[in-house]
Amino acid sequence: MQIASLIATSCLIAEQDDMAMIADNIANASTPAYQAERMQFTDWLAPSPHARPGTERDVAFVVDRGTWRDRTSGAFRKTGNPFDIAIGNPDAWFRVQTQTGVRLTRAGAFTLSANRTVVDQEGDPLLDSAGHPITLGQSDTGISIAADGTLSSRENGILAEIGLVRPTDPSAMTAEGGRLFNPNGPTVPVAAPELMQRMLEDSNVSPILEITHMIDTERQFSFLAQFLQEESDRRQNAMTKITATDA
Amino acid sequence: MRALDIAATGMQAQQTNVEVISNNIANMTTTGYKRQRAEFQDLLYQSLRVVGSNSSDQNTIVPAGAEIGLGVKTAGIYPIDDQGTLEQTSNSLDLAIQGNGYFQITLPSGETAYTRDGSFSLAPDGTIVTADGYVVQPGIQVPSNATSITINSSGQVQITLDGQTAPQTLGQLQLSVFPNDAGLAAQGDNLFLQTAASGDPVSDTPGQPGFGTTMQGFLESSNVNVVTEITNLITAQRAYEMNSQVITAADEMLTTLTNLH
Repeated sequence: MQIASLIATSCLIAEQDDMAMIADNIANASTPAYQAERMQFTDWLAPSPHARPGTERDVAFVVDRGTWRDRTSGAFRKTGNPFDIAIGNPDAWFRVQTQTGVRLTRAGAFTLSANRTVVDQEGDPLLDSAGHPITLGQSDTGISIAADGTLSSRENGILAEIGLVRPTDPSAMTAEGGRLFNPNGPTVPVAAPELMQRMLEDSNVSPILEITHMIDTERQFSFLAQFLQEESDRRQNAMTKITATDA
Repeated sequence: MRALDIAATGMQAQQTNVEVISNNIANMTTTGYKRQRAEFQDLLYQSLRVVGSNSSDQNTIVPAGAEIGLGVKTAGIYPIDDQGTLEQTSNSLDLAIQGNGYFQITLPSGETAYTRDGSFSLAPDGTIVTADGYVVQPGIQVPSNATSITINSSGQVQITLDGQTAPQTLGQLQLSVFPNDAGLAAQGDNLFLQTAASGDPVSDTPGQPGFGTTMQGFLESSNVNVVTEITNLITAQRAYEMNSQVITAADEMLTTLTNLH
């Protein structure tokens, strides 16, 4: 009999996770190249405990089976920093060498380290098309980065080619925080990355979508809680009546 | 309720953002000031269902996992060092740097600091000093009977003495460039110190390849663009409000739960 309450509870838990995801999207509304996350719910069928075979339908619990990311590009913002690079092609990713291996990122806020290597915010070097860090010479100033990833200086011409890749299975990527993604699989070079120098890609979080989604989740949550309450009252009522009949 | 903590990180990040923007606006008329930008990163993720794990004993694998991010953090606050506009002052000891480089200043402690604020003047003994009275290296002394001071684009300081026609060269100012300007530690008073992140300075006379030139009678204004800052401020404020909305919503959900009996 309490199966109704259990199903409602499974949905309450899923809604809580969904709320955490909305909160994370809104918290990252100013994180460059952040991609909004979405929850995917599914039903988990279980045979009804009171069912005679073939007469009653299964009951469906709610589970949050997976999350996916909105892969569209965010808006592009001019920053003026020569090592801020936005990627126009929504499928292309930069590669950076971290302590734990090669990771992918679209947040192109790079800078020069003390030994003139192009590094990201954490000091991890950006890799060129051959997988090596890019180090500039002492005399290289006036850096320009072409749309195809060619990095050249006013003094010495072409210095390196920034390597942009695309994971063969984007759904296998896992986020590691710090705007980094682990591809969890092979990557292939991207021919036309459409880089834009002195620009950054904004977060693609849409405030309207998130807030509407949040209100929706909240209402559904209170509706379910109300349902649980009524169900509890109904059982209480039934029990009172049954014990009254017995007396 | 994770949503509460996550929204709190969002509010903190936007608060930092507003602080950086207000510092930019406060310094919009500071000579040589470089505007700053707060950079954010997503925090670590919690996996509800691990991608790539087996979904059955037939080696079928989960194609996409479920992971929830836990908020946002400030990654850094970066100066954006594009050139500020040059403002004419006609003061013979006002110097602007057009291009790369910093003037070297000797602090009272003996350390060398770096600045792009070239509003210099003369100390009682004739030494060229900053607005705070710190000596500009290499410590050029201008005699009191000099009638005019000329500083050319390569930093050469020349004077004309009373009763003479030929100018006399006193010395040459030097500029320092760093591999990573963003790594310099700001000291206030428009001064910066070298750090491990900035790398070692390379010094040469103005006008050499890779070095800027000096312009006498000009000052470099701050590169703060008020329109950009105000729009950034509005965005930051709205983002702050949205995060507080999430907190309210998460709180209401908790209230709903506690009211169940």
